Amino acid sequence: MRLEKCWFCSSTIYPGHGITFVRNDATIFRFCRSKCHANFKLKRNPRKLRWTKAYRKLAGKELAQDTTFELERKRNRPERYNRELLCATMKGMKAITEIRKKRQDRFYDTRMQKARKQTRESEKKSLLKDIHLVKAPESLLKDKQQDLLLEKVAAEPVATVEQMDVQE
Amino acid sequence: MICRGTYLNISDNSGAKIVKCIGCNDGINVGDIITVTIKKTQKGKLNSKSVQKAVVVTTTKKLKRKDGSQYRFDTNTCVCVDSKLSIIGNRVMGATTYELRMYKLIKILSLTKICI
Repeated sequence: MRLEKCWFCSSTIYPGHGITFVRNDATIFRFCRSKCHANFKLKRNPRKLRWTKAYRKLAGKELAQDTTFELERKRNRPERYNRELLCATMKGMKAITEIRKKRQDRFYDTRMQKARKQTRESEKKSLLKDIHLVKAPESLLKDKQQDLLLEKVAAEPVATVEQMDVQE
Repeated sequence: MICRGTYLNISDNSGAKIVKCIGCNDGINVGDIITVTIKKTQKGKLNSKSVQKAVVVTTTKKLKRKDGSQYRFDTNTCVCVDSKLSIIGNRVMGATTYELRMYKLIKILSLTKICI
């Protein structure tokens, strides 16, 4: 049995799931669940909804263009049975899925590196802004004064051991 | 749901365009035969106000199959047939379903482009 893709969210439809809608001009729309079917009836655009594959690919959140996607494609040309070819494709399927997964993980990591920087900067900003929530302003002032004192002490020249010997 | 008084579209070129169901059993599904009167016509053999038999081809109500799949169509449509259940027109537009094979209406299936 063929595993079709949902027209709306492009997830796989397993047998016994979802509903197919046939328009008057005989075009077929397959939906994986009632959520997708209901959104289709509301005439919503899957490219504008964040949870669909179409949006995620368009917004650059997932790997969109890659050679590993070209294996899984609907081909209308009937292929003559060939044992060697079948074995080769079975092997290829496993290898290509592994490669695809690695590439997707790499893509995710590179995308998250930017996000990590952004979150760190924003957290830093919020900490500087709302420091009074962490420590009371009075104690902060005290700390500042103490720091100033310490700086002063550090700035003063300290007599070395040789100098002290000379003085004696 | 198709019952007495339901208006249906015609998807062949027999001459009828819109028909009204005047005789049917309860729970009409795809492949069932109903009697209709013709309300609107287009180019073809049949005239308006005549009484005809017709085979239901698609329904807006969900069509459930034993393998668990469900199908829904845009409109209720039927195809005009004579008393021997042979099709009057010579072309069928739009989609039809494989359930017609069960009722031995293979002529309709052979004329359609897309069977679902």
